[in-house]
Amino acid sequence: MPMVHEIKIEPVVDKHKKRTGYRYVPQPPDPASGPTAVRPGDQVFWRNDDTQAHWPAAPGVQFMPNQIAPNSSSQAWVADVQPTSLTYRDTLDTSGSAPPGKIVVSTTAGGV
Amino acid sequence: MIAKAFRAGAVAAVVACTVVAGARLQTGAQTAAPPYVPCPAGTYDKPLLSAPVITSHAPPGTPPGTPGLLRAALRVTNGYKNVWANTDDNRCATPQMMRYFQGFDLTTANLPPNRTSPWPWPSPVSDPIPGPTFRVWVGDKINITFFNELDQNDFAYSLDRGPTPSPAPSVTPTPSGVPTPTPGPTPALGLEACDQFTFRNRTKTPHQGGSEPAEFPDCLHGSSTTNVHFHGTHTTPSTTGDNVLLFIRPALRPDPAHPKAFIPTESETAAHLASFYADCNANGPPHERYPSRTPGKWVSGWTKKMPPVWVAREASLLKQFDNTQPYLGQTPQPVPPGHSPIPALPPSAQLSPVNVKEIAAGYWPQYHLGAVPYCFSLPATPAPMKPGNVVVPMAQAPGTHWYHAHKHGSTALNVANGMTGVLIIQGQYDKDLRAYYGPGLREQVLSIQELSTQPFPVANPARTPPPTPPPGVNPAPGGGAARPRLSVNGRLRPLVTMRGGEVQLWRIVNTSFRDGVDFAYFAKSSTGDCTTPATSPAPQWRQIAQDGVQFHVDNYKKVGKPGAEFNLAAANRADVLLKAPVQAGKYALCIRKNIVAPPNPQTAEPPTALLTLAVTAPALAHPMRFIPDDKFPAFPGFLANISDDEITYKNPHTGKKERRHRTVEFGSGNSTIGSSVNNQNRFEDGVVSQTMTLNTAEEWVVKNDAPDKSHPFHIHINPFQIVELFEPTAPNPKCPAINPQDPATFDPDAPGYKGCKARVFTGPWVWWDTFPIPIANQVDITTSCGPNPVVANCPKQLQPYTSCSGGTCTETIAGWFRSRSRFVDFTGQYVLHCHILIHEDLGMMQLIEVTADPMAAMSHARRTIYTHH
Repeated sequence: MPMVHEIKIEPVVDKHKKRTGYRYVPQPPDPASGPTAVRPGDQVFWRNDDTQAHWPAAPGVQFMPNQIAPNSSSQAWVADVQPTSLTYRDTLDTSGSAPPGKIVVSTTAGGV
Repeated sequence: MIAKAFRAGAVAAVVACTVVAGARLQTGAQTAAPPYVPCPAGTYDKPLLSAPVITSHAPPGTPPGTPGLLRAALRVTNGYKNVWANTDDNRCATPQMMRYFQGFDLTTANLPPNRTSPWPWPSPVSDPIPGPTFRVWVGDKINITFFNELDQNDFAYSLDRGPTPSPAPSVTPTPSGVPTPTPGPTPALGLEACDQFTFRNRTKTPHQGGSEPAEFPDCLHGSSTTNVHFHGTHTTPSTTGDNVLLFIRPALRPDPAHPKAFIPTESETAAHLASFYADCNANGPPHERYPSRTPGKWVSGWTKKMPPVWVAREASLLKQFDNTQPYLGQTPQPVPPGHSPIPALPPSAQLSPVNVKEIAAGYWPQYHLGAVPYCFSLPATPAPMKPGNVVVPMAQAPGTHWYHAHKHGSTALNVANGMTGVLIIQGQYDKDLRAYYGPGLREQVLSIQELSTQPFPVANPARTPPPTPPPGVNPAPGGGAARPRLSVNGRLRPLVTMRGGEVQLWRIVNTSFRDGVDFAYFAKSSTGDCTTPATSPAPQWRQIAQDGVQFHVDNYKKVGKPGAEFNLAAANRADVLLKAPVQAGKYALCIRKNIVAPPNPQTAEPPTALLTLAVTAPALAHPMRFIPDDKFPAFPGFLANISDDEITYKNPHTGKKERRHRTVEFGSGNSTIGSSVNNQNRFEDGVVSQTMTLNTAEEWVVKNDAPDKSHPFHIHINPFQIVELFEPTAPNPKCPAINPQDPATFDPDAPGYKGCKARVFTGPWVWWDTFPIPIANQVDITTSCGPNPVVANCPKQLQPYTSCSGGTCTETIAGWFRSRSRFVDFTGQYVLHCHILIHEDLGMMQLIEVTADPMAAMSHARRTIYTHH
C-alpha cells in the first residue's frame, strides 16, 4: 500500500510577525527539515498555510495542474517516476529567494 | 471440505451443501499473493485495545421498562496515526494523516466539567483504534449529533461537485524545465471534480475489471465530506435516520490563525438542536415532506420540523462556504463592502443552490455544514399485522452491527482511514445468553481493519497515458489493488487473553474496505506461524449469529458446529462463542484474506495470523462449555422464514398468482450493475433503479458476472434470507451438469430453467445484509460465433450471456443467489451496492426506493431530485 506525504508551505515571519518569505515543511515535522522520502507509487501533496499562492514544480515534473491558493491544499501527485531526487521551487516566486524543497524517490524509503 | 464448511456457514440450513474444493470448472483468477514481509517483532502481540463504549440510559425519572436513550456526540477529526503498508512493503507503523471518529456520552452526568468517558482518547493516540462502540437495546431511541471537524487542508484538494468537462490544460516547460504557470483556473483533463484517476489504464474496455474510465460522480471526490451509515439497522432511511444521501461538509475555519475555531461550534449546535431532539423522541423522526395547504404541493420536513434558527444557520453557513472556498488555485475576488461576493466556485460546483432547489420542491436537503442530528428508533417489536396483509412486519434484530462513513466518491478512502465503529444492539438474545452463562461471560469486540491512506491505485491527473509502473509499484492490471495488512482494533496481530477453560463471546466485524476474512483454524504458535492447524486440545469456536442476527437453534447445531470455518466478506459480522482449552498456551488465529468466496485453498493467499490468543493458567476450576441447544436464545417470530405466501400476489392483469421477483446483475468489472451481461450501468444521479411497494416481500436473484471476485452484495434497511445458491465454478455433484449451450441449466431466469433441489435450502434460513455473490464461469465460445465473431453471430440462445471483443466471444455463466426480503415498515430512498467500497465509489451502486404507491413500483428507472450520496 502506498503512503501519502504532506508538505506544508508556511510563512516565515520576523520578530515583528511581519511576513518575510515562506518555507517548505515536510509533515510530520522533521526537526532537520530533511527531504520528503517517498517510494514509487506514493502520493505527495502540499498544504498552503501562507498568505500567498504557490505553485511548486521541479525540472521536468509538473506536480499539479494549477497553483495552490492560500489556505488550501494541492491535488495529489503520484510518484510515478523512477527513483530520483527532485528539487522543487515555487514557479510563482520570481525572486527565487526561498530555499527549495526536495523529494527523494527511492524503493527503500521509510522502511524498517 | 473447507469450501463445504464455508458454505454451510454461509447459507445455512438444513440441506448439506456439497461443494467440493478442487472440482471447479474454472477457479477465480485471484491475484497471486505478494510476498509477505513481516514487521519488526515489537509490532506484534501488544494487548488488544478496546474502543471506548457509549451506552444508552433510561431517561431520568422514567419507570422501569421505558425505552432507553442514547445521547452521544460523534465527531470526525484527523491526525497522525500509525499505519502499516502492504504485505510486500516493509513500512510498518508509519505515521499517516487519518480521518477517524471520536465520541462521547452526552448524558447530563457526563457533560463538562464532569466528562470522564470516553473522551479524551485512550493512549497511546498513535494506535488507529475504531470509533466508539455504541451499546444500546432494541426499543431505544438514538440521538447522535454528528460533527465534521476535519481540516480539509490536511488532505489533497477535493471537490464535492464539478462543472461541465472542459479541455485539458496546456503547460509549456521553460528552458530550465520548470513549467510556466498558467494564469487562472486550469481544469485537469476536464474532470476536475474527480480527485484523481483511479486506474492507470484509462482505455475503456468493457468487461475487463479495473479499466473503466472514471466519470463524475462515480469517481473519487469530496473526500472530506462525509456522513454515517448505521449498517444493520432497521429504521427509516430518510431525514435523520439511516440517511446516506446526506453530504456533511467540514465545519468552517474562518480564521487561519485559530484553526480550532470551528463554525458551527458544538455548543451552539447542541443549543439549536435541543428542541428538535425533544420533538423527535416524542413523535419520531421527521418525514421527508408534508402535504402543503396548496393541493399537490409539499413542504419539506426540514423547514417544517427543524428549529428555524438551525435552518437559517445551516443555510447561511453553506452560502458562506460557497462564497469562500478556493477553486483550482483561485480565491474569491475581494469586493467592496455592501457588494455581493464573487465566489471562485463555478455555479455548478456550489452546494447551496442544490439545497435551495430541494427544499423548494418539498424535500429534505442533502448538503449540511459542520453538523447534523441523527435521531431514530430501533423497533423492539414488529408493528401489528395489517388486515388482509400476509407480509410479516419486522423489528430490529438484536446483535452486532456497525457504522461507517458512506459518502459516494469517498466511502472507500474514509473507511480505509478508519471511519468505522461498532454498534451493539442488545435484546432477548443477550439476556438468554447471560441467563445461561451468568454475568461472568466476557465479551471481545473485534473490528477487523484494512487501514490505508491510499487504498486504491491512482494516476496523476496531468499524465496521459500514464507511464509504465516503476520498480516497486504493483504492476497488476489497472495498477493493482492495494493489499494492506489486516489489523484488529488498531493493532497488528494483537494479543487476546483468556483463562483456561473460559468461554467468551466474540463480536467480530469485518470493517475492511475490500477483503473478505475466512476464519480457518487455530495454530499452536506464539509467533503467528499458521503452517499447521493445532490438534486437540485447542481453542474452539461456535458461530451463533450472522450479520447481527442470531441463528435459529437448528443452525446453531448445523452451521455453528464447533470449529466450522466461516467467511466474513467486507461488512459481514459474526458472533462466536470462543472456548479456550484448559491447558495454557499460545495460539495463532489463522485466517485467509480473500475476494473470492469461498476462498480456494489452492489459489488463495496462505493463512496468516489475525491475532494471538494466550490461554493462561490457572484454568477455571469449573471449565465453561458451549451453551446447550435447549438453552440457546429464543428465536423471535419475525425472523422466521419468509413464506411463499408472502412473496406471492395476484397479478391484476392476468388474474394469476405470481411471485414478486426481480433480478439484479453485478458486472464483471468494478463499477456497474444491470439486468444482464450486456445491460450494465454505473450509478446515475437522479435515477431510482428499483422501486418496491411498502409492506410487500420479494424474491430476488442476485447475479455476478465477475470471474475473479465475489462482489459482496449489500442492501440497507431490510436484511434478506438466502434460499438458493448457484456456484458455476464449483458445480454441485448432486445436480445435473451445467451445459454452456443450454441456459436452462444455469440461468434461473431462462425459459424452462431446470432447477436443482440440492441447491435449494429448506431453512431455517440465515439472515444477511451482505453476501459475497459466487463468481462466474467464463467460457470461450468464439468458434460458435462464425468467422465474424460478434454477439449477433453467436447462437441466439447464448447472446444474452455473450460479449465479444478483439475477435473473441466469451459466454458468462453468472454465479448467483436467490434471496427473499420484506420491504416493510419504512418508506424512503436508499441504496444497494457492492461492499468492495472502491467499487461502490466507482458506480457499482443503485438508488432504490420503498414507496407506499403501488403504481410507482410498476415503473422502472424513476427520476428523483436526489443526487448521489
